[in-house]
Amino acid sequence: MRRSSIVLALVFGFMGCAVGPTTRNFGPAAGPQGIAANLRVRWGPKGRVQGELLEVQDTALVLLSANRVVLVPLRVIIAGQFSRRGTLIEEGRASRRSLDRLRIVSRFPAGLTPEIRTRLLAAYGQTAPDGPP
Amino acid sequence: MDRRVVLPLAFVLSACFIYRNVQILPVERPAAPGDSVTVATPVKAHLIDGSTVVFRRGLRVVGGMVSGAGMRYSLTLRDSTAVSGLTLDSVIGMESFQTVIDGPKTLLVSTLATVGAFAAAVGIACAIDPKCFGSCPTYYSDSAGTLVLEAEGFSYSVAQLFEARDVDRLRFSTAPDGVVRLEVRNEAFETHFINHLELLEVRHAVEETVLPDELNRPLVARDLAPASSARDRSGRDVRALLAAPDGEVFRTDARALGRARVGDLEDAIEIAVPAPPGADSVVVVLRLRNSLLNTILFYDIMLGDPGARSLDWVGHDLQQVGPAVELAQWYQKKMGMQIAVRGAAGFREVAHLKDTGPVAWKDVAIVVPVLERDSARIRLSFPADNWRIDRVAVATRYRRPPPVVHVLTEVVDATDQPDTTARASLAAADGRYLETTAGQRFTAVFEVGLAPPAGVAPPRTFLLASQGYYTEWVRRGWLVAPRATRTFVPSDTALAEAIARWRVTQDTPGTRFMATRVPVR
Repeated sequence: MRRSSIVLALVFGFMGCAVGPTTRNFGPAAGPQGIAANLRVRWGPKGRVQGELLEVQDTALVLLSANRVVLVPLRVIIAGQFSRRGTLIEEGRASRRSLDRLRIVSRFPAGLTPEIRTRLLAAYGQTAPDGPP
Repeated sequence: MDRRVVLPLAFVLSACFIYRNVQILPVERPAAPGDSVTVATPVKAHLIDGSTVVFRRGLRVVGGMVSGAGMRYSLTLRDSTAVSGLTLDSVIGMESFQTVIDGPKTLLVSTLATVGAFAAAVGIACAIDPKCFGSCPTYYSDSAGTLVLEAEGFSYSVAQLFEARDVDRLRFSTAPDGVVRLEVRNEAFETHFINHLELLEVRHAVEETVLPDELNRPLVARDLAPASSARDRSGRDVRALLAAPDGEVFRTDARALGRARVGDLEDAIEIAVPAPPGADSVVVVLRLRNSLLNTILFYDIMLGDPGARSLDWVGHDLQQVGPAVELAQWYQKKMGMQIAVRGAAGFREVAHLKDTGPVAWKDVAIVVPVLERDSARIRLSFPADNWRIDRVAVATRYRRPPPVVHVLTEVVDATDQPDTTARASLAAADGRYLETTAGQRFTAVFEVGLAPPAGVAPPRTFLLASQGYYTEWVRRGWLVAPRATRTFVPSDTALAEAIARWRVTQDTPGTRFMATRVPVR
């Protein structure tokens, strides 16, 4: 009885001690959406943009935030946190490596074609993304 | 508390350091019409019309069709419908998601991969150019505004289990401002996992030459002289050809290359020098680089012929100790260069030089024993035409001073911004790696101290130590036209086939590298 209790404790212990995402709980693996982003920015009244990462460009991120498509230049990002990936952008700077890693977990890793961009904006009643001037 | 409880608990707590992650890999198109690719983990397909299909339980690709239980989501994700199949023509690319336990990720990319527009452009370029080949990290120094190729690191370390440390002699000897800057490039269709970079410095007399030996230890040689005789296996006198590092290089005689067959795949050079009085050893100094025979063996035979099967071979098989050791043992025995010395019982192998790569010249020293009274007869043997050898010299005096180690001071990324994370990844040979993909570059900065005025202090020679491994991107050409029905099996037959193909092509490394390298600027 005692031995089986220890074995059970070990089994549950091992199961509970593994940390980090799996394909079951990692958003981009479990569904169609891109990774969740939480950006602290030097722009807008709240100074924060949260939403789904749609596209990673060389100098900006495109997010879907509160049913609006938003273009956030890297330069205005004070801190960029991403679900299960941590903080990858600080003070407007992100290494190319970090951007590559973000790109493959965005909704459109190959980028938005002009046609899809236009259709996406139209679906949200926009002709151009929101964003800082 | 009872020890029978404490110990298991301690193990449980230690298990808390197990870290999972989600790895994202491209899903490849089957290599041939009758072939198929099955993926058991979740797959996301990106369609040309902007919609996304998620196959949570994986899928199967046969010919031009994808089948599996999926959900198709519209561009806005507001609508979704169940689907059981797709045509490949409607797909931009597919990614599979796998849960992995720690470890640097293996990322294999083909033209179907959707890791970004840049990677797609690279893949297409590679698909167009059938001469695509890999080259490992390349290191450049700045010489009066011109970048000079100095070295290539850990050549042919094609899986993590083959991770290797390389030490290369750098050509520049001064650092006027006390800072050495080396540009590190990924100019090939590969993912590089660089673990460690450091600079070694040796101060020496003007008449001395500093080189790494075959085990990467710095060695200072003195009194270098050409061999008194040098003949290759075909009987050619190659002494004059090898006497000076002048760009006139040794290559295997064409007739000998034509005769190479299973069971007789080697060429050799036999050199002789007078035995120095009282010395029990001499130093063979080589300046050499690989021909592209090795590249054909790796990229055409090992990876190309099996086509899509190479994805599993690199991504799974070579991560296992058994297959990796089998390949490593075969490679060590067959490739590189064996160095043997003649004694009373004939030639005895005393050292092995591993392949150094086809792009940059490598200077290396090998200490060999003197086994005969009057002369030292040394045989260098290698697969036919595996090397381009610019110089063979012999030094009768040498020493092994401890080098000064300069740690990496800073890493500057391609936008001239310091990258502290990258520096931390490269600072020590540990579990942290800097991962670079094709076209990426960064600058490694070492503060080495101001150079004393000429004539005041002894000259300085710098050597770059680099450690890591790389994975090849599986090319479109390999996927669409596989020649083999199984993954690579190490054998003389495979090497003979590589030599046969090499006989036909024989591009020069410089031409091929320059023609196919990936631009980094």
